[in-house]
Amino acid sequence: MHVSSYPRVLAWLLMLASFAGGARAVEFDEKVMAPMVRGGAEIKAQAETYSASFARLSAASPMQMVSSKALAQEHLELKWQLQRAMDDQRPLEDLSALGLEKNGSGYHIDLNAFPQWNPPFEFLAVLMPSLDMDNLRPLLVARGFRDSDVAAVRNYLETHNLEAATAVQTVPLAISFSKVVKKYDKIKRPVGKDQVLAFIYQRSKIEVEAQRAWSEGLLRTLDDQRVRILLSYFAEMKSVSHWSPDNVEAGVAGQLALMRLPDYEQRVRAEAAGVTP
Amino acid sequence: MNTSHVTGQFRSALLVVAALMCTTGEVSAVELSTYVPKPSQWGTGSGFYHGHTVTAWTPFNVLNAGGAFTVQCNHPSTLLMTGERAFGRTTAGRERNMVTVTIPEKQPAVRNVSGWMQVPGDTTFTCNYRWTSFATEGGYSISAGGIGITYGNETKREGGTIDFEMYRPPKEDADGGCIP
Repeated sequence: MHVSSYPRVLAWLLMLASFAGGARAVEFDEKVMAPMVRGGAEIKAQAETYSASFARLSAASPMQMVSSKALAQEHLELKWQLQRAMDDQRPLEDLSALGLEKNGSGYHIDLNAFPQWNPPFEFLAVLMPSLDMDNLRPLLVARGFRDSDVAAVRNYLETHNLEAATAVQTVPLAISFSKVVKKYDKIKRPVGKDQVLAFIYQRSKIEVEAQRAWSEGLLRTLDDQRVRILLSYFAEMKSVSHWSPDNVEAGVAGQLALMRLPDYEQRVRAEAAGVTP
Repeated sequence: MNTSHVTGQFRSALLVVAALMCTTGEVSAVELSTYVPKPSQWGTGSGFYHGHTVTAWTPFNVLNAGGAFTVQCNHPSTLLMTGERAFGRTTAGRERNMVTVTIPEKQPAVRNVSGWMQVPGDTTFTCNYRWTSFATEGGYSISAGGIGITYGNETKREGGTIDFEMYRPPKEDADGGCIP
């Protein structure tokens, strides 16, 4: 697992600074429910539309694949549909032409052949913080990075903590949802799967946008040529993915059990600060 | 971030979760992705780039992921090289649970071919990077009063191989021109 190279305290201070800088604290919105799962034909059409959007932006400019909030949102909405359909064991149409090869109860994906399932905003946010810049440097320089480009990337990684930036919004979201759960418990009203899924959906939107914004910020430190070089380094990796259904009932029960803990708020804040309670 | 460490206080919370999950059967990892850069020789010396990164995530609380590799070259002087890493992570549900494991830890990694000095000069040989990755949602054992509780444990696995070439130049050119 990636270990941050600078102290967690600094990350926490950066997070607090983001609060002070006006980052919007997001609370759980009981009115925003997770999308209903669509039928197989609708999901296939949605997947085709998304794949076409991805191809269009990819042809236009690599930067647009990362800067487009709409594409990231489309990706999130589609993956939500696919995941929930798998979880509910709903029949889906054949999606192999789009790269989703049926594998047991899930899907196997060749991400090199079907890059739309591994958009740059996602792999940059996941992989870049885990790389060792000293070892990566010669590989990037051999491809055309200058020392100033390496320095810019290194500086961005050292000064932009994605985890802290995400926590600025997920901490208030989780705490406010736990308050809703406790409020319902108090009036003996059951908290259902739909409410927990609504929380996970709202949380996913925050996480995806945080990843996208972080990746966009990273690429904005580079010129177009260096952006292409960096993306090509990752694109040339052999990349595969396996998606499988989740036991939602179990996950929901577990999530609610945590949310009902009397010290949940303290626990979440401590976790976000990188301190195991 | 070593989140596999669980304090006594958090253990009680996990016990609640585990007990609930036990009632509902198997849980599987939601998403497992593996990224494998093509291994390559570093210059003309014995070093080579290798390694892979495993990412797994679930919207829920408990996740273990990791992977391993072996490197075998088709020259009789060389020796098998191996490595493996894995992590477990629990969260309080504030964020989706994502585990990213680099194998080896530093990525991209560089190591020397074992037995390189016994390879004659001006020799090209093929090596094979064989990788595996896995993710398990759940599979977390919690001891309470001497009783171990485990749930989940269904593991998703991936694996593959990538060939790459190494070249040992004539001795006078090897390793930056140093003559052993």
